[in-house]
Formats: sequence, structure tokens, C-alpha cells
Amino acid sequence: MTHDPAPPDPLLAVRDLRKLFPARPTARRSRFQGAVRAVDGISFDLRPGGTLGIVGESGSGKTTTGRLVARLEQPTSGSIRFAGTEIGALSRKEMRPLRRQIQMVFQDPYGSLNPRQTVGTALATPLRAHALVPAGGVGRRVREVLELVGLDPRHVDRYPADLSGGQRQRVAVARALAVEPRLVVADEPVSALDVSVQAQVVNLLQDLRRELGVAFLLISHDLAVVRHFCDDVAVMYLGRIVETADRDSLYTRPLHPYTQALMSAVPDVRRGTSGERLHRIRLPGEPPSPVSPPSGCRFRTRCWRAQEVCAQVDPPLLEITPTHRVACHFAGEFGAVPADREGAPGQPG
Amino acid sequence: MSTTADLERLAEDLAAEARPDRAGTGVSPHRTALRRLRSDPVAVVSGAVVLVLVLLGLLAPLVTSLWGIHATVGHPDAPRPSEVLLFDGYPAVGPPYEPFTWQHPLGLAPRTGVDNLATLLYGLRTSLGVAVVATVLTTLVGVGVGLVAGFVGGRTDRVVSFVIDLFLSFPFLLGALALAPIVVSRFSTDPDGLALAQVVALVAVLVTFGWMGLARLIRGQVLSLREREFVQAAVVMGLSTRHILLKELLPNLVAPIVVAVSLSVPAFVAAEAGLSYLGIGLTGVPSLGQTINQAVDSFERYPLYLWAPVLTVMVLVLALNLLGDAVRDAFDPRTRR
Repeated sequence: MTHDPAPPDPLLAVRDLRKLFPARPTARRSRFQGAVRAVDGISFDLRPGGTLGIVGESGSGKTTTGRLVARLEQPTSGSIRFAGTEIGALSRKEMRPLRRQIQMVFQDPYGSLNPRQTVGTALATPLRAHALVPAGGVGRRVREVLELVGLDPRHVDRYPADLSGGQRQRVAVARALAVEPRLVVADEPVSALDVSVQAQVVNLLQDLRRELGVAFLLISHDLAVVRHFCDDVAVMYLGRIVETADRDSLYTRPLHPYTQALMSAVPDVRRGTSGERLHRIRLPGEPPSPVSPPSGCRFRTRCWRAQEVCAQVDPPLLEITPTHRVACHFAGEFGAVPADREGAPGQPG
Repeated sequence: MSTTADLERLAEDLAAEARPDRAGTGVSPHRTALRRLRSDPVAVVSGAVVLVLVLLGLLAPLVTSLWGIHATVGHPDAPRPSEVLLFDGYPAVGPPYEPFTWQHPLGLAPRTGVDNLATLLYGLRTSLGVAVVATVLTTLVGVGVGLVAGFVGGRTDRVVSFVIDLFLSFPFLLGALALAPIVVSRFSTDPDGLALAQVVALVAVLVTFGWMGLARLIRGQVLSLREREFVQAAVVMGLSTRHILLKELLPNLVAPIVVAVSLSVPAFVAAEAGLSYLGIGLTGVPSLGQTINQAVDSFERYPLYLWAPVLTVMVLVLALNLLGDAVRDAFDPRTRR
């Protein structure tokens, strides 16, 4: 997120990024069979050392966004600039030297480690591939990163099957950080873990971020994890960013109806004990198919505020405050309206 | 995350805890498989049988010379056919007319007077040799093609899959039948060349029509492995395609490859015997199938001549198959009956 008035050069700048998956992969019966618009024109910035959380329900395109940034997928259109280099259109081969700088932590610690490799091999492989440490120092570096993530260096000879889920995820984190990346894309890094272990891993990630100054793109459906970890948050719905803000602003004053609905679904112990009844917003139905999203605002089919204009005009992402932007025709008219709001959110620009 | 994957994972976790032989101390999954194999009585017995037969085949020259028997007609040290054969072509010593003799435990072949045990040992050697070479080559081709097709995907995969289907639809026996007379007529003037050409042609036919199954299996495995997160992680780490294929994917394919290999050796032994029996395979060097072919004519008078090679093929194929099953159970416990 840019912080006015003097935004530092972003480490990652994504502009109008799109990824369409053909709904029918066979070439024969081609013509128009439609496409899943997994990511449909999103833009965001991430400054060096910053943390951006992307939240949304399943199918919102948040995982695809992460995979696009890590270039596991080829964007259909749009731009991904990483440290000043356009990486959106690079081929596999051209991408290879940049790979070290963008690492990824996956959701499933059972799947992200090769079951036939010891922990030591898994950690040494990227070090050797990028020749980051002299050949003699690989073993020492491996032990170093194991200690960094709070694992016993004696674990080098273990196989993933010998480790618990939390330990495996620590190894996955160690592997991502061993090559000293500048950006880590963490796709649901704790969702597959026990709640008690989740907190440990989130805290570990936070410590490592502070110590190493690595930027994080955290993808999660868990609002609490994102709140704990991220400076900035983007909310995705059906391939679009519907609201983006700094953490405090988003969690205290969610402006988009969808964000409000998400927030209201989070159980809150304090509110529960104080007897204050939380107004829970129930969204009717399911998200529409991303093959043929609704006209105008994509959320209108489930929105309790939808008016005629919503079906006709696609609301742009409008700036409410310098750090808070919302894509809703009525964002300014509900909830806490900021005094310094500019533009007229009711009218599409 | 699907429920079956969750269940499998849970089972894996429970198994990891329950297995006392790998209590948390870095034992590779393959080593556990070998350990399981060693404690399986079927595997041990069939393995021993295979080992004995392989040794007999390998040491055929030594065994025959110690025994003083010869597998070729007109060997300088061998007794001349006229000395050991009666007028009707049947041997004058040993079965079927005379009692058992240690000099020729399986008797002599009618008409040629060659020792049957010697022929059997050399035949075993040929059969196993052809089967092993064919297996190695089909494995290399099958694994290579499967890996590339599965990992590269897209158009390459479609082309390869079509070629696989094409080869599968081509009648194997017809190909072999067509090839044999061509080879024979081409090398008819040169007996040594003919023997070699027949071996090469036989192996070529077996490989040409034998690689598709494994290629298909490996392709399917790679297709599912490719989406596993550790392969994605390897891509993100910037590892080369070669590294991903050989170091990340291949070790995870050892189990299906070992299983395929252990089951294809007996299949090739049987195929070689079958082809040689049909006269398509080898004629220049002794082979089990060829002996069976010759023995059929005199079965009524001289059953032992036929039974010996038939039983040998049976025992060999049975032992190899049982060993293959045991290997599959050890490497892939989920498919255990």
C-alpha cells in the first residue's frame, strides 16, 4: 500500500492483473466456451518489508493471486512488477534467476515437502541451486536456518513422515527463508495446522519478518490471522479486490458490505461476555459462478443494499482516505464516513 | 482439500506413530520397504528360487564343464551322436529306454544326442538374459517417456499419448511374425550373425511392444505428483526441470517402477519362451521355448524331454511373479490384500 505523500518505491506493484482459466481445456470444441475469471483486474502495491493480507472466501481468487505473483501461473493480462522488473511475461527460463527473491510457503505441510527427501536435503537443495553459500558451508547454513525457525538441528536426517504438522511447516518456512528472499508469498500457511500450533507459526513468521525484513503476501481466509500479522489488508470477492485498507481502518471501519459481512461472522469472545449482541449479517445464497459474474457490481446478488445502479455500473475502487479504498456505490453513505473523504462514492468515476 | 486426502494423511500419521521400526529416526521409506520384504516368507522363498535359477543360468558354462556335458552339437569333447543314439533316434543311455544315469540327469535329446541339462542351463541363461535386457530397456523408455509427457503436458503429452495408443493397438504377434522371416533370410548365410541378429530382433520386438504400459503408468503418476505442493515448491525455488524430474519426481516413482520391473521380467521370460516355441524367437542359441517346441513331437515316448523345460519356465515365472507381488506389497503397503 502506498503511504502518501512520499511513497517508497514498492517492492511489488500489481496492475490490472487478470487470470482466466478456460472452462473447457480441449482445443477441439473451442469457439467460446467461457472461462473462469479467477482473478479479474486487481491492482495493489507492497512496499519492501511490508505485509499485505489478502482475505476472501474460497473461490475469490486469492490463491490464484498468490500463484501469479510467485509465477506458478502465467497471467492472462496485466502487469506484475517486482523490484522494478516486469515479471508478468517472463518465460520459465527468464524467471529462474529471479526465483530466489520470491519464495512461497504452501498451505499443506504434508504436501509441500518431498516425502523421499530428508529435511537436510530439502533445505540444502535451494542453497546449492542458487550457489548462495560455498559448497563447504551448506551444512552449517542448513543448521542455522533450522535454528532460526526453532527446530533442533538434529532434525536434518529426518524424513517428513517423522515430523509433526507444525514441525513440517517450520521446515517449509525454513526452506523459503534459506535463500534470503525479498518477498514470501504465504498461501494459507497455518490453515492446515492445529489451533495451538497456528499461533506458534504465526508468531514465528512475525519474528522472522522483523528480523529479516522480508515482505509478506499473506493469503488467508482467517481474519484473525491476517489482523495479527498484516499491516494492510485487501478483501477479494469473485476475482476482484472490493476493499483495501490499513489494518486498523479495515477492522474498525469496514466500508464494503461484503467486508462487513465477513467481519460480523467472526466470533468475538469479549463481545459475547459483555452481553452486547452482535448484529450478524447473513449473506443469502452462494457466490455466483466466476464463469459468468453478475453485471455491474459483482456482490449485488447477495448485497442487502443493492439498488438499480449496482446492476448497471461496476463500482470502481474509490479512495475514501489515503489508505482506504472501497469498490461500492454507497460506501460513503453508511457506517462511519470519514471527514476528509474526497470524490463522490455514489457516482462512479 | 478432499476428505480422502485427509484420511490418507491421518492413516499415514497413525502408521508413522505405530511403526516401531521407524520410531522417529530418519529411516528412508525405501529402507523400510526392504525391511518389510526381508520379513516376508513368500518373498524370501521365491527370491531364493530366483537366485538359484539366475546363478545356474549365469554359471551355465562352469556347471556344464564340471559335469562334463555339452549343449552344442558336434562339440569336440562331446560323444558323437552315433555313439549315444539308437537307430530310432532315441538315446541309448538314460531315459526314456534306459534307467536314470547321473552322467545325463535329464537324458539326451533325441536325434541330436545333446545333453538336456546343458541345453536347459544355457536356455535359462538366454531366457533370463533376454528378459533382463528387455526389462531394462522398456523401463528406461517407459519411465523417460512417461516423465516427460506427464511433466511437460500440453501438446507433447497429447502426441505421446497418441503414440502410446498407436503402439498398443498394433498387434504384437503379427509384428513379431513378420519380423522373424526377414531377419532369418537376411542373415541366412552367417550362422553366428543370425544368432546375434535373432537375439537383437527378439529384444527389439519385446521392447517395442513392451514400453507403453509403464509409460502410461508413470505419466499418470507424474500428472498427479506434478500438482503436489513439493513440486510447486521446487519450481518456486527455481530448480531446473532436469532436477525436478530426476531428484523430486523420480524418487517418488521408485515404488511403481520396482513393481513394474519385477512383474515384467517373468512376462518377458514367458514371452520369449512363447515366441521361441512358435519359431519366431531364437533358433541359433539354446532357449527354453525352443526346447519345448522340439520336445512336443516326442512327448508320447519321451515325456521328460518336454517336462524339464516346461517345469523350469513355470517355476521361474511363478517365483518371479511371487517375488514381484511381494515387492509390490512391500513398496506400496496400501494395495496389500
